[in-house]
Amino acid sequence: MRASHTTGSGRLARAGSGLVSGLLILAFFAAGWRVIPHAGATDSGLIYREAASAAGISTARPVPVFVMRADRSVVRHGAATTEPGGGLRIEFFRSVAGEAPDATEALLFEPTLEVLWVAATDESQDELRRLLDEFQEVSARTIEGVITSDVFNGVYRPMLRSILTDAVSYAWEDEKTQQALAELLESSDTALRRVLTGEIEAILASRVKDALWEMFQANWVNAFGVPFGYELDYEPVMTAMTAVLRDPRVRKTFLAFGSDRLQTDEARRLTERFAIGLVDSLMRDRRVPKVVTEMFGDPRLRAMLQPVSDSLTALFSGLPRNLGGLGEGSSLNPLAAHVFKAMVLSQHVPLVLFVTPEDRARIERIDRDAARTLSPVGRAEAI
Amino acid sequence: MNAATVLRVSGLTIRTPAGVALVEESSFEIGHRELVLLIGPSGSGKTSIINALCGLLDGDEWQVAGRVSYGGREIDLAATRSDLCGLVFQGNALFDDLSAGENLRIAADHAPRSTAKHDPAELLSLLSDIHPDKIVAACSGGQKQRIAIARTLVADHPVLILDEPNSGLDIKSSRRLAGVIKKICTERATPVIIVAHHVDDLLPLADKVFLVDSTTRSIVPIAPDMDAIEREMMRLDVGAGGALAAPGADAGPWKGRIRRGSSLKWFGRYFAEYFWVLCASPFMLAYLGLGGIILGFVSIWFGFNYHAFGGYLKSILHDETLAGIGFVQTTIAVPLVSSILVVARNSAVISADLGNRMLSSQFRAMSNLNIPGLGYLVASIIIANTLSLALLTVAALATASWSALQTWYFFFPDQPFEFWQENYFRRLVEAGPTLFVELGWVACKIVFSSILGSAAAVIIGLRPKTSVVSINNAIAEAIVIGVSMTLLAHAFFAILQFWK
Repeated sequence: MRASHTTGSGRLARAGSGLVSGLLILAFFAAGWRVIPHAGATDSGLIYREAASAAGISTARPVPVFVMRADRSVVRHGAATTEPGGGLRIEFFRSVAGEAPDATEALLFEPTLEVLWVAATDESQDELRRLLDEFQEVSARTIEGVITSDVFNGVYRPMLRSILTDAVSYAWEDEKTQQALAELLESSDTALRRVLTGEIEAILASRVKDALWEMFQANWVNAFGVPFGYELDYEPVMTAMTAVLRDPRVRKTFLAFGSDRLQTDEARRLTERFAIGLVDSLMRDRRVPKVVTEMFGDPRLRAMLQPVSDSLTALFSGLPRNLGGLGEGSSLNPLAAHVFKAMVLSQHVPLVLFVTPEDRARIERIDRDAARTLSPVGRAEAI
Repeated sequence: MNAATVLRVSGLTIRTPAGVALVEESSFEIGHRELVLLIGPSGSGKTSIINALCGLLDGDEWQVAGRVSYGGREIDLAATRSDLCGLVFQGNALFDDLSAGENLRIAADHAPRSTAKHDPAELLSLLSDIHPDKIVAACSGGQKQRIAIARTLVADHPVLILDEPNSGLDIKSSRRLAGVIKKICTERATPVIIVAHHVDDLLPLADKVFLVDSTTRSIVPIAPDMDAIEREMMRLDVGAGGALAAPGADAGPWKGRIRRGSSLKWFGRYFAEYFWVLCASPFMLAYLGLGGIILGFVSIWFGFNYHAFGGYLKSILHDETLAGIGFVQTTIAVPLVSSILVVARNSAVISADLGNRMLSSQFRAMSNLNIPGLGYLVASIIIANTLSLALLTVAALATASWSALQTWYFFFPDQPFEFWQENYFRRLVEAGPTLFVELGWVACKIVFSSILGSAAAVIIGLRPKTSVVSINNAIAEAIVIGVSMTLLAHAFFAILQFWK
């Protein structure tokens, strides 16, 4: 080391070095200030509440907030935390505060495929419907042979029955299914509601779980498409219900209820909700991929299942691409990333999506129960 | 001349670490205004004799016996290190990281308390043509020699010894120097011993000449052959005048420069010097800043781009991928890379600096001047290096994170940076109180890397150096050992950190 401070030029050089060091240190501070989360990075936030419920929103984890642009691409818009009173305190990111100013409607979604479906473009929805049609057509030709085979009934049906029983329980007991059931029964007379909410409901529930296996056997291909606008064949439900009615304790009640009631909008909604819940449960059940893998690897079934396998591969490869813009070479879709993480990790962290009033109407047309509407109730400081 | 004003050496015996006797039972006397030449063939032991008189021989390896007395003090050389003699080293051993003025001030600040306050005018005759702020490297050979003499005088030892003072000087400078020395000898009434091979210019000024006789292992007086030569040399010396100023000349810029002050400030002086070089210099800051930028870019670019499922990492697995990269970057990668960069570079600097000081006898000069050089330098180095690594790791974290953000923007230009922020630091934020545990592990890695690396560089740098090549070898060795210890320290604490 050498002292460089001697002459005037030496002092100048040293002062210059000090100045450069000072500027570099300032640059480090600026870089750190830019990246480190610190106070004042976000607005103080707004409080939102669910418009149609007084129960409030409860979740332990921070709720991600997204905004849908005009082209239906979605970006993160902020983060929300639950307030003691059940409200959601939403703090918006400053850097995208002006993003999509017309997206004023706040919708609370569960992290399921539904939200990806409603956020998908029309082209993506058409593509998925086409893939589902192909899958349905191929499956219809082969599935009947598989599920009536000795191998399936002897080996796989017991395993699938156990999985399905759990899925049926989940779907039947789901809050939305029960709400749809309540709406269906609302149009019946008081005596029937009283009976159905009493001991007969218990009988019905236990019988329906068995009957729904028959329904699923006839509807499982269509059931995958329900979240994407597919209609179910309700006749098996009617048949199942008829089987339930053979029970002498409920025969009288359901004869009064009448089969025409099972073809109303309320009945359709109940069935849809049940099917959606069923699919959702099956997709979260870690036993499903294991059994399916075994089935598709079973040499006794392979030949029969090969066409379905090919069609299913095409459908699955199209799902991420069309629902989240995902896949090799794709860019970030934070909404799809959140849904995927929630499904893989079984985290039921809801999400808030800001949309335009037009998009909100479109989403409600697709599925009235897909989301819950949130309304602003004031700024965070005022609460 | 009474006994108290005579430097008396009696029964001097010196044996090398190999057991070879250089002198045995030798005695001589020098009057308080006498200038004595100590001559002898190479290897006869001249330098060892003056080192013994200055207390610079390692008593654990060398065998020294005899007594030296002057000014009422008597020292047993076998039991006590002599501090009677101030030595002007061959090659001067100036502290070349200090200015000319600082070389004198540091000696003044470490002189014995009983030392009389120095009159700058007394030294002006030596330093009038040298600005106090002039760096040593910019001084001529004669100026360096006079600074070294002045520095030794400031330390105020009763006896002045010069080792080959005219080595490397032209005949004119050599004669001027001889005049200066003689002037000091007579005006300060200080006994002076000059060890020299080339005595032509010095002989006219010498009062006595002692010969180290290697055949009899004794120090014997010989008659100086002086008359005509001495007269001629004195004429030249008076005629030249040289850098010597007339008595009463203005002290000028040296005024107040050599007054005594606190010795503690020298620790601060050395600490500031090392902190600047090891941490705060623009080169070092830019080096670590650039390292952080490259690391941040590489982690995001290759983390997202060159992977079999790169497209999925950028889409559905984005959040977890970014959270993982952020955690690894802040707790593992940046501290490790920063440690390697800092330890490698600073080990080279430290070993080179100390090696140079060893080669130029600066530590011996410090010892002769009562300066706790090892304490000042080693403590400064270790503290500055540790502080440097901690601060530069923080700086590298800042630039690495900023670079990661910019690279992320390149991939996802439409996304808000708060989204990056939320995920990049998520695992640290979610860690809660255990964040401090994680930071503790990082601190352990930094502190141990720094201490081990700098200690290795210090030890290697302080080993005896015989040439520039030996300094180069020490630099390479210090880098390899320092970096190896850094890797081991990080691996050790990383295992403890993630041990389940």
